[in-house]
Amino acid sequence: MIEIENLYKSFNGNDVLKGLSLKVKEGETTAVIGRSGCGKSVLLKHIIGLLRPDKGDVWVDGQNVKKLKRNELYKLRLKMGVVFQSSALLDSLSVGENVALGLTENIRISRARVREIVLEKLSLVELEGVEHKRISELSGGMKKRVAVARALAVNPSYILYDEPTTALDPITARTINELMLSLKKKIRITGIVVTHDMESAFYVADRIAMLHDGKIIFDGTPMEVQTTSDPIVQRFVKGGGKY
Amino acid sequence: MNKGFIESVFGYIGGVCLFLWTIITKLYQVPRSFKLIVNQIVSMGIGSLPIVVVVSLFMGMVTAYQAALQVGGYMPESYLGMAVAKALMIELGPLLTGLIVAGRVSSSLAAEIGTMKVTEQIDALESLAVDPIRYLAMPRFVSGLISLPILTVISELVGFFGGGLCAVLLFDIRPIVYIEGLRVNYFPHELWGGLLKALCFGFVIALMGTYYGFTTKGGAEGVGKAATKAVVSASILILFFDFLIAWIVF
Repeated sequence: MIEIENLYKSFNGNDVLKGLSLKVKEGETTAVIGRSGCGKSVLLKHIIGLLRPDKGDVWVDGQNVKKLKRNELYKLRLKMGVVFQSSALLDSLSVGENVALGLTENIRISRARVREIVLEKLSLVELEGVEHKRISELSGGMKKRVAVARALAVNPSYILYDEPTTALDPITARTINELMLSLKKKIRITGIVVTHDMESAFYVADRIAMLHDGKIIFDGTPMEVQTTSDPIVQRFVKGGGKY
Repeated sequence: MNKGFIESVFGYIGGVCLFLWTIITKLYQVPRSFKLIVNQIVSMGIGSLPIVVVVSLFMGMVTAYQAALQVGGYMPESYLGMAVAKALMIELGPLLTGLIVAGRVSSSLAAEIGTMKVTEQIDALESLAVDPIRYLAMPRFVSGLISLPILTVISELVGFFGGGLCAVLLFDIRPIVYIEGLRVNYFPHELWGGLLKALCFGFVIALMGTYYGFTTKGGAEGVGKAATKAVVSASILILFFDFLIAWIVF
């Protein structure tokens, strides 16, 4: 389980998170929604330990992320796969090498087994025969899929998506939504989706939490989000459109 | 002097030292990063070889030409080889190789790592439990230390050859006289001092390139600035260390 308690973070005097608390239950997908620049990606970076909170704690499987030593943090990160907004694939490596990176750098494993896992994960995201391609040869949607395959390579317990449908056309965005949903059903992975795309949030999430002014102001099921009388949530949801 | 300026200077020096220390603490993982280091030696060393060879050839030729022209009438023919050998081994070989590689490699290291930083590739490495300093900076640092002395030796040999061509073709000096001249008044510390400079320049080039890459901020503009700063600072430090080592060794 991931538990965030009273998280504070500011950058150059600009308060981004102001006492954020959130629980992500095992096996569920939680969408964190909010306007651009409200601190959603900052929240994700705290969960994987890329940023240290000014105040508050992030607990992952009972471990306080900010108190972990570097090697302990790296062990914890192997339990979490991250799909970055820009996909963040290493363009000096091929598709297969990108997917294999977490394995080859962290686990003693034979080349044959690595290849097997790479092909299995690429097949899971419905990308076959692309392992030798360069990253520059892929479309935006394919890059997102490779990023998902890379995140899944070490069989993580959690997968964190940072704006997975941003900058994609509606059809590709829907394909990525379907992929996230099918992964949830196939491998029962716990997920956090940070997004401002309400279509995506309603489609993949079991729970939706709204981040506003540095805090979670609403946390409920997709149905509760649609029926809430909270004016801020309503305005955001209606502005975001219906699925 | 302005307090902010002093703070920023000490902040910069502290930042570079801290970054260097972080790389040093990863050096024990060299065997694990062997393939990455070899890849960097290929890219940094072998990639720089053509330009180093071309520049060194002309550098040797012009050194021989000027030496013959300026003092040709006052010195024996065999001393032309000696003048070329001393100029190249002590000064020109390491310095020009250092400056050429600084221009080519420092900027490319800063731009490559800087682009990775602004496109979240370094965050992605962290999220995959891969230490970016161990994966990106340390192999480039080690390959800088290995590549520069090797490139410098090649540069000096090509320079000797260029000087010989000039001596034989333009000044009718017999090849054997020129070659014998290369050995006149040779002291081993001239070679080792030059190679020490090359080692130091390799250190500076890799350190500045990776440091500015890892501290890149913003987007494309930030990457451009990082590349420029890497070349400028590497070039200045090369000239500083050139003087410092000359002062200590010779």
